[in-house]
Amino acid sequence: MLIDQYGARLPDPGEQRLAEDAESRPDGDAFEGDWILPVAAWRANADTMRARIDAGQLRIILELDGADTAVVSEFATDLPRFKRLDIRFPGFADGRGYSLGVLLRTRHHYRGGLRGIGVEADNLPALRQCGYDSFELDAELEPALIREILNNAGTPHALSLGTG
Amino acid sequence: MYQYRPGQRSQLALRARQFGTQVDRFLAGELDPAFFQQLRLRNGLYIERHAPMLRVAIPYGTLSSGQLRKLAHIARTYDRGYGHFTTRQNIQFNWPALESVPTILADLAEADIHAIQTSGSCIRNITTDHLAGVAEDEHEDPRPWCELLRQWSTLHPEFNWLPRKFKIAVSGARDDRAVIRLHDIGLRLHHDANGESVFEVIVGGGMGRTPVIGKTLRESLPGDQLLPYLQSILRIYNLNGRRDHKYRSRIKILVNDLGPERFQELVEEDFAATDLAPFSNALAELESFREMFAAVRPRPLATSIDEPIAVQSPAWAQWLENNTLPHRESGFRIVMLSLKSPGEEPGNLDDSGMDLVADLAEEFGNGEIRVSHEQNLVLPWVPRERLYALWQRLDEAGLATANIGTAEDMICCPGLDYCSLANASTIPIAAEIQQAVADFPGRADIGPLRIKMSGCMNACGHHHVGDIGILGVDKKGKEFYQVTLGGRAGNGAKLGERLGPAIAREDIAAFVMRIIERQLELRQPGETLADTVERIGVEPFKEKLYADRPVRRQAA
Ligand code: SF4
Repeated sequence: MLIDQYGARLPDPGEQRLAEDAESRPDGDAFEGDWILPVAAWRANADTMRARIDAGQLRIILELDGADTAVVSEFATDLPRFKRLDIRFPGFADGRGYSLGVLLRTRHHYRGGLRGIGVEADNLPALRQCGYDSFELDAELEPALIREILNNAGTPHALSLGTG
Repeated sequence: MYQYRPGQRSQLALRARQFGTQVDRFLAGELDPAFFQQLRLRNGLYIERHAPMLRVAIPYGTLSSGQLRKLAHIARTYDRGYGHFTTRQNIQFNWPALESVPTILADLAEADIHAIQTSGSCIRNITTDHLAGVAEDEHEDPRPWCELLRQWSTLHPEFNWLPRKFKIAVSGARDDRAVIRLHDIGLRLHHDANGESVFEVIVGGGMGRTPVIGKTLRESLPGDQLLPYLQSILRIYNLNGRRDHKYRSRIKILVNDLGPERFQELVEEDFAATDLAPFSNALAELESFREMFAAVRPRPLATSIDEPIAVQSPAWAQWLENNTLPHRESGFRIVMLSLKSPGEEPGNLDDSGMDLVADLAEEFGNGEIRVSHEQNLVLPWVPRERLYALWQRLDEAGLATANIGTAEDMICCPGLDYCSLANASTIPIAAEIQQAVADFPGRADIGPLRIKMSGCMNACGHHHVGDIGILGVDKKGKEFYQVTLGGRAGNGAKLGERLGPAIAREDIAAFVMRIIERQLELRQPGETLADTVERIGVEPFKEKLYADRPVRRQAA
């Protein structure tokens, strides 16, 4: 299920996803609107896509593997161009995505959307503190439970030391 | 001592409720068992050999009398009437029922105690010198810094899913009593030329199956940079540490794989890019913490001061000699309570013992109790003139065992009797060795000796750094023991050297006694066993021990 940072269900945004093996890439004029891309597709056609994004013809959501921590610096200069970054978590125990989120927000000053994919509801409070603002959960949960999790989460012991 | 603020208190209550909901969801089949396992570990709850085990944090080893009474209450109400103090300043309860754990956590929260992050791949309880604040050789009381670290690391959103567990220890004294060179991060608090608090930052030490002495990254990191610098270390580890293999995922492996120089480069790079502003209020907090810790002093003495204490009996004299230590302030002694009495499981104390110690700490000290990594308790502020009366009370209660620092004061993990990871028993072996030492005619000559025993490679019993280290191994379903000699935990930390083939269970106690006898032959005046090994190596022990009498060796 897809939810925002307050636990509210998000409507289907009508984004299109480019399949890994797609022959045509969203750098041609036929492509318009919001596209979710794997990293490889971006790498292959970055130049044309940059121009089309800057011209307002295309919005790109980049899908990253939460284990691939080196990519942040690779895309550093392009970050303002992305509508959203979708970080796919390799598993609930893999915490790299948390540092990735903090680096994106505090080092690269990334202001676009940041979505955690494949995350557990009980981890939402921490993910939110690390800069994530929407989530795709594998499980379907009652909205009341999600609200309770978000409201009942402990915060660091009242010391606002930040995560800068 | 640290005083919780109301907001922090309600956080603990909230956390207990949150865990209660998670337990309910798990029992209703609504929470993935593998995920729930991780959630319960982060609340200190293991499922052990016989039953669940709950590990409760004693941050930097400091307890108030009220807190110790609360632990006694938990032992009495939810357990079988005792608790086990561990080598990392935690206490473990071995028999709580899963369903009662949220209630236990709520009970503990009433006394500002928690079990958060006592287990799991996250930053664990911050440990320190059990003599912090009262030791003669101290540069600065490390506990205000430890409290700062505790608050920073507790529920840290970025570091709750590290590649593996992460242990931090702090020492503020000349003699390291916190084993800082064998932790993921060890911090040595000292003062620079201007009298400012600075830290030696040691990284990548550890025991376990790949024991390593940590590497120094910074000699004197300014105190106001401590948290951001640790953040950089943790971040580099979180991003780059291996996650594919349980035994290759501690930070020591990353430091080794990258090389200490490259690791440090990455840390310094991240640190240089860190915005320090969010950390600036931490130092203001530190000042208020310092005041809280300094405030705890016993009432003024009626009389002064360093009068020699008249000796009334040999037992008292021996207790005074072995179990009390010089204090930073004249007029006081530090009193050690041994949890290694013959016939007791090392590190265990029952509920009535806990209540009594809590009372005595108030009556004779400052209402404060410390827990040492050597699994003993400490009363840090006892006026010299009250020592005899205190000893009498302890003696009546069987808590005056005068064996601190001796061969009988063994560190010993729970082993096969409780721990599901164990290869071999430890508690019965410790009892046999204690008995053998007690019966040994030359007992009085042995002097200080650190025997440390673990039931498996995880090394919870710190065997690598004992004068004599004993490691339980499983050989074709039989219990054997690997012996190492000459390890040191503190300054000049050193890993013990393996003596030879593992020894069978039936022979291990006798074997240890022969090591002790051999040491008495080989040592020069004033030498500990580690000193002797440093001077002449293990060969002179080895030759004799394995040649002397036939021992049942392990099958090849
Ligand atoms: S050393 Fe091994 S047997 Fe002993 S407590 Fe640790 S994990 Fe258990």
